Amino acid sequence: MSQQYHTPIDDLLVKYLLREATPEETKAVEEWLNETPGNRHYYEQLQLIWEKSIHLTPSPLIATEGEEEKAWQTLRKKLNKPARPKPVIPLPWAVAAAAAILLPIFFFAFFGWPGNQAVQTVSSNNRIINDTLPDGTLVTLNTHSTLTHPKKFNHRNVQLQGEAFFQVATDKEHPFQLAANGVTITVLGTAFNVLTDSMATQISVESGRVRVANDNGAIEIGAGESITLGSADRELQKHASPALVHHFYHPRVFVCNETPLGQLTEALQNAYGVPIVIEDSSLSKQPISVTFRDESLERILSILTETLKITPAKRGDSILLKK
Amino acid sequence: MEWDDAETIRLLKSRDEEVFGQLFKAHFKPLRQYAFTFVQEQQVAEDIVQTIFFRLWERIEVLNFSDSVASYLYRAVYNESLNALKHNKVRRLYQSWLHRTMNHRSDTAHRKLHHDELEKTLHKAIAGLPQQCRTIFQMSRFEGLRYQEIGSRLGISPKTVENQMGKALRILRARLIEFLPLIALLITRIVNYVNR
Repeated sequence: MSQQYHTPIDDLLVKYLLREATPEETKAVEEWLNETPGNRHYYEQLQLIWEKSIHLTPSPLIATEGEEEKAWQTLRKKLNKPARPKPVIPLPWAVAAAAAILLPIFFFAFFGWPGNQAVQTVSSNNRIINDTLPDGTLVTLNTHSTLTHPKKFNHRNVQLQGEAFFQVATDKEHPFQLAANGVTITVLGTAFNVLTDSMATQISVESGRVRVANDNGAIEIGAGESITLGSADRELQKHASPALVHHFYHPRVFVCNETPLGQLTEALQNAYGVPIVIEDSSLSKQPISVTFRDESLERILSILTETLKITPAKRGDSILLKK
Repeated sequence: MEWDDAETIRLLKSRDEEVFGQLFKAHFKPLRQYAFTFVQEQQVAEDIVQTIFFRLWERIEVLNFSDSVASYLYRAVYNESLNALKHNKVRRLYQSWLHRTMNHRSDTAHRKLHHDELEKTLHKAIAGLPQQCRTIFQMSRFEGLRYQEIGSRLGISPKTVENQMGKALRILRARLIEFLPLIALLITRIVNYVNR
């Protein structure tokens, strides 16, 4: 197809496609289209691109009433902070000097003094920590969790208490081994989540395969599969991803796939800090499949009550769900 | 929302906080949505909008709005979003999001594989459009705005919108040409053959 007519006609063709063209323009375009099959084909390609691109529309954000006002108030506070006094030392020099002093401190704080013990412990306390281990593995450590890993990764044995999501850097020579609650998880390169508490250990694999071993034996689980081990129940039995998929990067995204309501409310209560009580245990076992993204708790509850035909009630500070 | 630009700029430069607040509130949601198309995270998108307004206020006296205030804002959000994407973490999340979305789509419909490939390439191609071109294309496609509305939102003429839309589709076609179905081409060839 020759190029010469494309440039001037494109604007017109797109205008025609979007029904923005005037009657005269429409007529001109239609004449052009009928000139040669090549012309029509060219137009159809533009049309296809246009139609295809609607599928790429980003999901609209959750917009709440009056949030511009709130955002504006936030900005205003920042604007009205008293202007910083002019630094006595020119800023670039001040930064350089600070860096010269602080960098070694950070360096030693992070990697330890030379000859110090060989493990490093990261505790998250109240916040979620995103970290890259020396071997390139990405870790998202949930709140109140502790990860111990070697400072130098000549081996890749780490220990976990609490919950973390790992995206393991591939290294066939050195398998990544994680010990948690008497379970050993061996990985080559994969993404998976581990949740431990005093009651149970749950491992969910997002991609790749991991090998899970305890004193009872070993089993391999793959993408979309999970395994849950109770403190008394040491039997290794996998099941298809039952669980709430955790997205730490989006702490308020909840993906439920036949997930028991009780598990969802537990996650909601952690995320929103509001205690949620379910009155009877049969309701708490009720499976639900739904996805919430950055919704308000009120909205989530109203969707749940509508779908499950339940009634929410306020009891003191907590929310009570009953049939 | 119509803005008398010269007057707005004059008031802004005289540090009229009320006008600045109105400007912020009028543009907050659309700009956040625009930033979201890059960074895919609501909070990050919101921070970007806050940042660019903060800087605008800091430097308002020396700023030179070459076209319109709105065009300036979209350009600033575009640049700031690209900066944010450069930041490793966001880029990683974005890529894994992209990867997951695309994987999910091809999982659910194997026979649409070819189409998914097209969509993926299309996504990249839209992201690769020049700034103004991309802004206008997205407003038209994703927000369904008419040329007139885009023009008044950005403070530019409908003619410019028209040129940029033509340019957008031309660029997209050039980048996607190998993915466009051959069937249509085949039909064209047959018709040509019969007509001969």
